[in-house]
Amino acid sequence: MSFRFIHTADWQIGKPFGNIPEEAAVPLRQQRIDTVKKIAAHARTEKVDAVLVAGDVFDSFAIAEKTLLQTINAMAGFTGLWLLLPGNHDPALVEGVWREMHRMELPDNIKLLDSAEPFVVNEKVVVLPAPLQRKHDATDVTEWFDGYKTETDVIRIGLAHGSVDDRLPERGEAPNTISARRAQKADLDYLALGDWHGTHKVDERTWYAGTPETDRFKDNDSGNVLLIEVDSHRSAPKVQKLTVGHYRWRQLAPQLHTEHGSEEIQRAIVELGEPYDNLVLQLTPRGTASLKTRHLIGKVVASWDALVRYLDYREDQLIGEASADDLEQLGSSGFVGDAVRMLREKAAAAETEEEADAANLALQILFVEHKQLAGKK
Amino acid sequence: MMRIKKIFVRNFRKFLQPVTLADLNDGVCVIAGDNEEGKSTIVHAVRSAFHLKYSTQATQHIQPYNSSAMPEVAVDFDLNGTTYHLRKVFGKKGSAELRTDSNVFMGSEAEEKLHELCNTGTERKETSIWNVLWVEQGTTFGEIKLGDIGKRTLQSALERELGSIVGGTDGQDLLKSVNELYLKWFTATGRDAKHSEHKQAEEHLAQVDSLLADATKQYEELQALLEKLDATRSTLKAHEDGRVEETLSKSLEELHAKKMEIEKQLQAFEQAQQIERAEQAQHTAAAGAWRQRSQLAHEVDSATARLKNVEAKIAEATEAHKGASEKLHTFQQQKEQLDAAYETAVSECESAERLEQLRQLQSQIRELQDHIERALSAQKHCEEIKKEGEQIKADRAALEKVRQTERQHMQLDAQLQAVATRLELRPASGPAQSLLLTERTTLPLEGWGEIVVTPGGGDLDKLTATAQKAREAFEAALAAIGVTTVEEAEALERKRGELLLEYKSWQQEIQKHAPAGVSTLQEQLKLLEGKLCELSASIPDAERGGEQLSIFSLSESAERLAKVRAKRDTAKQAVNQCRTESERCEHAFRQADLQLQSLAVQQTAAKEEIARLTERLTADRAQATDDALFQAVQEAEMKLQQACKARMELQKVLKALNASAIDADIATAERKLADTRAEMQRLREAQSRLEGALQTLGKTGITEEVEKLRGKKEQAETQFARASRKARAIKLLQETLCEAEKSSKQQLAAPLMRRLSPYMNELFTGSNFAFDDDNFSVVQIQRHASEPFQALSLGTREQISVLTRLAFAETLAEAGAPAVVILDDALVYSDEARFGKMQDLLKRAAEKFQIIVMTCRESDYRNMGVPIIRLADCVGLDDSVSRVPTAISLLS
Repeated sequence: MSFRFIHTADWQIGKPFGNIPEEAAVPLRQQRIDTVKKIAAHARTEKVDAVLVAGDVFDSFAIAEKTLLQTINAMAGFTGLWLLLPGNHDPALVEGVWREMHRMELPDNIKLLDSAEPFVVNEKVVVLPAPLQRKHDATDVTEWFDGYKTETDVIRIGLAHGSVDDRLPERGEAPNTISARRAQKADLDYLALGDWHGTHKVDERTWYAGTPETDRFKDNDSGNVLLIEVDSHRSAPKVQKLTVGHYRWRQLAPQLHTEHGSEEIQRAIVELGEPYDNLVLQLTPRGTASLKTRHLIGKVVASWDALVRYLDYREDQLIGEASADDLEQLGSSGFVGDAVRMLREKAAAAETEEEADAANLALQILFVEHKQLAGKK
Repeated sequence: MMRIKKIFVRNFRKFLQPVTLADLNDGVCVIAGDNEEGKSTIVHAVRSAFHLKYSTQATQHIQPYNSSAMPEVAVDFDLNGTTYHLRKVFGKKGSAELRTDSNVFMGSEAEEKLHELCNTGTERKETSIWNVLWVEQGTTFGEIKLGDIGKRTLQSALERELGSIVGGTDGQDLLKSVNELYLKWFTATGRDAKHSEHKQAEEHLAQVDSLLADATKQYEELQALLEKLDATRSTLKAHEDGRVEETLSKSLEELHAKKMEIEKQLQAFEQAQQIERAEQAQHTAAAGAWRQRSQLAHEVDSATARLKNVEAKIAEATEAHKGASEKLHTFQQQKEQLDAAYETAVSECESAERLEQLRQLQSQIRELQDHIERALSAQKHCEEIKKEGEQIKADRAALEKVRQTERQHMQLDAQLQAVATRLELRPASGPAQSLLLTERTTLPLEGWGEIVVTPGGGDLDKLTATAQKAREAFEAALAAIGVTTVEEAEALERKRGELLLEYKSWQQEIQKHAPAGVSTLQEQLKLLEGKLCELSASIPDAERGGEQLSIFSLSESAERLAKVRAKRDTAKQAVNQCRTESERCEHAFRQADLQLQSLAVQQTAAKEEIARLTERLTADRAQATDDALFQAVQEAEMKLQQACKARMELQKVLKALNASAIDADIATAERKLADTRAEMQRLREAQSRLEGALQTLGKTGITEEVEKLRGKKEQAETQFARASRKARAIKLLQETLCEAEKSSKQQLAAPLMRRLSPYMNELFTGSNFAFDDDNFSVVQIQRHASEPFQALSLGTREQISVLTRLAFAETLAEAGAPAVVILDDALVYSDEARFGKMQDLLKRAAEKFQIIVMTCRESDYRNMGVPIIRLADCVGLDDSVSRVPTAISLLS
């Protein structure tokens, strides 16, 4: 008898995206719940036995009641087992979301694995959960798996949230470490992990599912869930990645050299492909640009800002330099020409980056004002 | 170069009739006229010709009074080699014509051409340069207010000279635009503008920060409640798991059981203490009887020992008494011998002392006798000398008197000689003879008779008599001493002095030997001789030893006496020593005697005490033997030890039970139990309360809110940083632009200042001035101190204003731009000297451009050497018909 399930983690429902303007943050927040619905749909379609959520179901331990109810509702699309594990974002504290869920009349198919006790799915499958009782745990909470014995034909699935020792591209979010050899030592058929937001394979039987809905600009293969099938105890699990994420978080940092900077940016964004309204874009052009080019880049950015979900434009890495053409447009004679020369000298002789930046930006503003006046005439 | 050649005015304010000012001079041109003759109207008319649109409907300011006639002005002027004829008729149906030899511009074209030529301004003509160059009466002393167009005209001229500095209108527009942008961000004083992006970003950040702080506080409260609940649960669990209450109850029961055991042991302990006390009394009694017996026996032994000791001491004292007696006897015998020897020595000493006394008396007598002898001899010499001296009269006073009378006598003789008649007889033979006659003298001449000579002068007789008296006095002084000459007198006085010295010497000798007088010495001698007789009689012959006293020398006698005295002293010392020893022996003897007596008393007392104690001991032993008493003591001691041991064992048991603390322990245990029960009740209540509070707080989604606000704060910080960055840039841009513009203006103003300086130096020698680069005007003059323009006198202000206009006109003229200066009674406040200088400067300036001066004081300009046109002569003249046929035809 095989065990077929979806491994997911780090939903972080209720993540506020406070550093993003509210009009963009609202859909981002809503999407995380919608993605749970998508997972339910996949579970239904794939006819899985259960959906295992390896921690950080919620963004915090004290989530708003409405958010909690929305999440539960989102899971209604799959009537099979939902096994939910507390993570470092939503630890099973003495009071909080987990206790609240205990008090609620949850659907029978939703199980809260908030204590370190085996959950028997059926006589041939057992899930060993390692819930976090606090945000940071100094011990390896999966250690008890080693000592828990089952019949030889029982499929053993571990469910935990934390960082596997030295086996991640970067360290996970929390210092809750998990032995990289846990699956082997505890004779697990599969160890479903959460915490790392990208889909990542630790070994044949140990995987991070990653967050199903990308929530940051890190390019680490997020936006997936894993479809797992274990045929029997000690058989190799079959792992399949299913993409469920909606928003595409992308970072662009084009290096600009020529006066065609605005066109280069335009091209780079277009290359990301349609649809554009699911793009969350961070644009940080680098290099140098003339006053005219910067002026044009500004226009390009403004047009894309209206197209994508959110555009975080950062121009602090782009050094503005007045070109001969800029100067010609501004006029080299008269006191304006003198002022331009003075600003350029200030930028060149500035002792701090801030001073140089102020002088360059002043030139840029002068250029824009000049263009606007010229436009009026 | 521009030159106004002719001005024609008609129907203009006061001029209904035509006025023609023709043949205006190239350089300075003076137009003279009395007050209200119309000079200012002419200026007004010229300004209207250049500035006012011909089609204006506002003609009421230029129309003749009480007339609706259309005002008409025509100006002929040369400009850069071309002669222009300008004629305007003002009003709704007015006309304009600008004509050259080759072209005619009519209406609006004429206006446009005029503007092109003279830059009069199309709309705001009042701001053109001409408004400044053509000065109306009574306005010269005011500040020059150059309008926008005038400023631009001047700037263009300056830029033609310097090249582009200001950057034309684009630069100004850009500056204006940047200034507007700046004012959206900052106030005029450089602070953040109220609704600036920067200010809003800052306020938004503060707002978000405040919200975050509130939310964080709530979150922290939630955390604190969680921790509290966690702690409460843990404590409660620990209490329940550890069965604290049960344990405490059990231990309280144990403590009560222990208390009962302690009470039992305490009873036993008190009984043991009673037994011990009884045994202690028995033992004390037995021990007391035994101690008394022992003490009595000991007293008998002590008394016997004391007796033995006394007897031994008696034997020792008897021996000492005997020795002392013998020693005392020996010393008494020795003392008798020494006393005898001492008496002999004393006798010898006394004899020697008497002999010495006798010898000293003899010596004193001999000495005294010698003194008396010498004193008497000296006395004798004194008497002899005194006698001799008394015979000599020539003492110091007498001698002085002789000398004094001699001097008087000599002086008077000399005076007499001086007045005497000298008579010289010189016989034929024989020596010549001279006579000095001091008195009437008769000189007998043998054979001839006699000659009576009477010396002249009435005083001669008196002088002769005085001289005679002086001589007599002199001679009397000599006679008093007994001599005839002064030398003798002096010899006698010397001798008298010598005798006196000798007398004093002998007197000293007498004083030396007999200071109290010889008779006193003689009385002392008699006294000593008497003492000698007495002493001689008291010394027996035997003592003298048959020797004469005189044979002993002084030293021998003293030596002998010293020996005898030493012998006596030695004997005395031996006697004293012997006496001391004898007294000491006697004292020892008495002490030994007393001790013997005392020891005898002690011996008797000791014997009596032994008898008494022995009797008492014997009686006691008859009642109870020593052994019986000792046995009783030992038995009592054994019983006491047993009782004590029993009591200590019970005490040890009680100590082990810590009996004293049992009540406190029970109280503590009871309190602990009560506290624990209360604490558990409190914890259960607290847990319930906290759970309720957390359920409520947890549902508010405070953590989401905190996270959201954190993000918002990050966003607000980014916005604020961006706004700050932009604010910095805008500020820098505005400051830099202003600085550049200011610098350009300074450059631009330099040529103007260069032209104005010579004029100013000419008029205000040694002064400096400050120039407003923005308005091209003198704002301050520096002479002795800084004087602002407005603080200067009216005269100085009008002079500076005229000179500034000259500099403007010069600048324009040199740049090839039209420039004519018209001054309407511009120098009315200037004093004579300054006025003269101003005329010179006007003439100098007029070499470069035309200056038309309107004045009501013609005489002031007569000596200037320039043509003067009298306005009165020009009124009624109308040569416009012949000169401007086209205009005439238009008007007609």
